[in-house]
Amino acid sequence: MSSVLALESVAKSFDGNSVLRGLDLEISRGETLTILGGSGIGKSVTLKILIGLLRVDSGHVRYHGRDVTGLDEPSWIEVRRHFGMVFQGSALFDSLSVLENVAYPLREHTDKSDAEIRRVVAQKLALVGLEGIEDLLPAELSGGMRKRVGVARAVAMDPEIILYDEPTTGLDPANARRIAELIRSLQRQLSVTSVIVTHDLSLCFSVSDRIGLLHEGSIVQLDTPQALRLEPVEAVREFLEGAALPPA
Amino acid sequence: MRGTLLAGLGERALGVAEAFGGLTQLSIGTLRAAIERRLPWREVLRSLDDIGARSFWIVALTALFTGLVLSLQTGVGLKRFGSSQYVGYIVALAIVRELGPVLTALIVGGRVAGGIAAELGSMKVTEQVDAIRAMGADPVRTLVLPRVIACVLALPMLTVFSDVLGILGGMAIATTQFALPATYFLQTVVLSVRPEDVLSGLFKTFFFGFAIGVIASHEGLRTRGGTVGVGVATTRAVVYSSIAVLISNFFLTKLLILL
Repeated sequence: MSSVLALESVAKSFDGNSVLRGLDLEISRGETLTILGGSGIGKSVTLKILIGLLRVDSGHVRYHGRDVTGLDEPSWIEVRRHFGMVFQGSALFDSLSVLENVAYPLREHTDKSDAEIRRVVAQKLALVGLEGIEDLLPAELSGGMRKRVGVARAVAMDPEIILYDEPTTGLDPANARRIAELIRSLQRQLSVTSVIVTHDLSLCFSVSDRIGLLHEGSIVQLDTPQALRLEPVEAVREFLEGAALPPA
Repeated sequence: MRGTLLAGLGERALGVAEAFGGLTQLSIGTLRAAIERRLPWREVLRSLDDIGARSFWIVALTALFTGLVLSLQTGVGLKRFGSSQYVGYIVALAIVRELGPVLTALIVGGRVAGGIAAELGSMKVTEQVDAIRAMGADPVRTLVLPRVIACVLALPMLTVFSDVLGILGGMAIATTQFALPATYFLQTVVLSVRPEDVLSGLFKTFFFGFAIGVIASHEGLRTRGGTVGVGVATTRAVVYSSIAVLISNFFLTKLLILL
């Protein structure tokens, strides 16, 4: 499998507080890779570095082998067309309807007619199990529905890579399970590369091809779910013991 | 003690330099966005409604009462010299050249800068600005540009209303308090105000509109720290845009007098 995205010796700090210290990560085409870790450990920062929303202090970001670390904003805008991102709090635009939220990237990057856009939006909403809610405002949706609309918006442009930032945080178990099923079904239907950051072990072990634990600014173990259960390094074992590891 | 003081001053100077750098960058980015791609007219119209139409009544009220009080004060002063017939000259010139543009900019700035900073600040802390960037769009083009264009277009229009209402307010006082016929008052206005007086006032409002839009957007987009940060950004936007209007007014006036 070839590498789609890679981080090499990435360091990032905020106001003198070092968050990432020499992080190395390689993401292969078509895989679902989950970055696991506790709160405030730098998982979302890693995701935002991958899509260029945050700049690294040192190190390199590669997209299909091309060094994109020092790209200016207009060049990053081009690269980001290949990404979809699902935000922790959904980040739907409050003033726009569900239709306009999902249509946003289509209006931005394509010349599709209103009718075509409506058709694509309906198709994407059906993909996440939310038909017929086009005219509702985000404020009229439940937390789980907002997350799924966020997923529909992320896949609107049929991206090559989808980044999920804590996709189940703040959801009840039923909705969290629904999101996990949705991620699995998108993997099957769209064959995209997915990067998930979460501290939800249940989600992590049910959808991932590989899991990496982010600890003290770097990935301490990156392995398949099975290998992680059977041969965890010290930090991984402590993390898994701290949370209830789901049955194999 | 001295070291702490110097360090504090240095930190403050760096903060000011950073803010000016950010403002300059955003101004250039906004102008570039206006030139490079098709303008987002739908958003511009929505902002124009919010910034322009909804500011009308507060601007009208301010202008009317400014005209009333200016006429009253000027009339009382001139009466001491037996010259109250000149009220129209002074009121009209003061309103058209200075008070109309500046008071409109301050009132609209107070209302609009706070609103823009709060809206963009909330979008920033809820990651909506990041979402725009993640979708390969440019927040300057989609969020800042429509608001700046709306400010630049709305301020001159509101100033025209403000000028007219201010003069009418002045006329109301001149006729009721100083027994000047309305037709005489209006004649003095027409005789005293030249086209360049009106144009110089309106010319300044384009700059004021740009400054208000860019400063408010800048403060909104650099919001940090949740809802508390949104409050701070809102206050800063109102204060900074008011200061910018007052300071730039002096230099623009000086420049226009020289030209």
